[in-house]
Amino acid sequence: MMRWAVIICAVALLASCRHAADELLEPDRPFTMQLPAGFPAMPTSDDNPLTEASVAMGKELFFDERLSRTGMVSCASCHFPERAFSDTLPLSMGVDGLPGMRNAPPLVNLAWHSGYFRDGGVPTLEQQAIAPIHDPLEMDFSITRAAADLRNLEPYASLSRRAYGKPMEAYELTRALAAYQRTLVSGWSRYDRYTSGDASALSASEQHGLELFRSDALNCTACHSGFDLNDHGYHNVGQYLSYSDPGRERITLVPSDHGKFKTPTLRNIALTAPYMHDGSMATLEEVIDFFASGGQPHVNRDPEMQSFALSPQDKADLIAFLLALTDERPIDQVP
Amino acid sequence: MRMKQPVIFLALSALIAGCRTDEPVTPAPSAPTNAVLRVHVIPEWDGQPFQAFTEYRAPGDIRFQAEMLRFYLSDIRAVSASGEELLSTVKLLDVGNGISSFDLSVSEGVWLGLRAGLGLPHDLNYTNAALYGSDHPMSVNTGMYWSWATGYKFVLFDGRFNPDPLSTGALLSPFSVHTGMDTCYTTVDLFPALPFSTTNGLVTDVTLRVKVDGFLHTPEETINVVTENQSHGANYPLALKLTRNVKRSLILE
Repeated sequence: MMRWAVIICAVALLASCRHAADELLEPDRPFTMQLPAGFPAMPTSDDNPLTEASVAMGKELFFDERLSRTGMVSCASCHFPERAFSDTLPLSMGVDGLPGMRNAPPLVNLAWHSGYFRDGGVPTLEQQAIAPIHDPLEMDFSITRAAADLRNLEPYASLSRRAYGKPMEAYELTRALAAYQRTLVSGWSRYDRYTSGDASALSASEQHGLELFRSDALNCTACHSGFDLNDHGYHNVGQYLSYSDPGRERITLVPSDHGKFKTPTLRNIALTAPYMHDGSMATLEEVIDFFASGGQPHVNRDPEMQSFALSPQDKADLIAFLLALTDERPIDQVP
Repeated sequence: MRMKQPVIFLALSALIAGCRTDEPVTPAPSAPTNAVLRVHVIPEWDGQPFQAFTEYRAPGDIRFQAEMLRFYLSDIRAVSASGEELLSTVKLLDVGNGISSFDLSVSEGVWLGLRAGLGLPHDLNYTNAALYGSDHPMSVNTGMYWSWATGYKFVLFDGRFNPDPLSTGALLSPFSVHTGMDTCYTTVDLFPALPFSTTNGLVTDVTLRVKVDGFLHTPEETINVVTENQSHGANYPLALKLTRNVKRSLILE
């Protein structure tokens, strides 16, 4: 009898209390990640620090098809890791096979962005996470319902308690997804090795392509500049005379923003076809021909858009350089 | 045998008290219970009870049916001769679902009426939508959060129409007007013909008539559903026109 009383006492003390259960979890630690040479410090979020548990939870969610109404579409269904987290289709297919509104962009170096979606409609990755889950053309589900469905299941039950000290709700779900996506860093290409001093990293053809890329005549760096080859601005490149998609104007309601879209990074461009906001160009040759034409004379066309001429060899060299922007190591650093 | 009793007592105490939460104990209210203002929301079309998915005639004798009709009232205050009292931060009225009601806790007194924001004020509009549980009026599940942009729809009015008044065919043309920019936020004064009084411990009933036909047509301005039928952040003039018409179509009695 005495033995049973002692056992009951011990079990009660150790297991009956949630706080005690939490103490059994491995303590969370800051997530340590490498940044490529020459990259600025990663902007941090005070209320959503990168920790081992938060990024692990975000990675689980990113690949979890239970975030969709049909249980068949995850974030990774349209953002393939092997494609720098972009899609191979012009417009991704959501639940019921319905096409989305715009081409799924690659998800790299997002921590340095100040606006998300191709029109910059939301200012944080946490807020961005809500839209695809609710969009009828994407996952067509409810973020609060998804959180409720998953919160008591492993690994979410443990990871959420480790990362946020409480079971997962919509708030934690958005934070975990944002944390994971901030860890997707691209900056380990042969181009990066070349700019770090390894002259042998690029071939002669690729080096000539880089010279053309940086030249005033082509003016690529007017928008594709800096460590991310991206000014993070919004530009109308004259892709159409009449845009069916209002672009940035949808958010600002300013007519001069009509047809403007966020500059995409050129990193891993060999992997991210098709191109442009609507995925309407299948190849890099097609894209270069378009930019060489100077684009359509849309009233909002960026003045930096100027036509130029390229010899067949120059074009081949420019493409060779663009292909050297592919990372040589995985973008995803989360185990 | 004597030793067993304290041990068992300790075990039971641990079982009962081991899961102590740190939440403070709320003392029982000692003040008298506030008065309750019960607002009965009655949607109407031409003075008759309104129902979604029922065919009506829009301006121009256009066959029209509303399918979803929701709007926010925020910063709801009771107004007296001497000042105002905040009653609620936000309510979502889903008038497409027919008659409904909601309660507001209010002090005892005589009130000239209610004052509320149609939509959400800036600070509330840009809070983090993921913070709200599924039963909150600002939950992302209400369909009122834009999601592709920050902030909320203030008025959501979806329906269908047939552009040919003589046609007997299906209502296939979509009508979908969503307001939601800060500049669409406006204050509505809901003052009945006579003041109403509230008494502690008692319920006072008032009626908020929502004249849905007025959303499309008031003496001041008309929405032609054939030519003015889409606004999702853009088509700002139409969003403002709907805002003004909704404001004119809310009557407190």
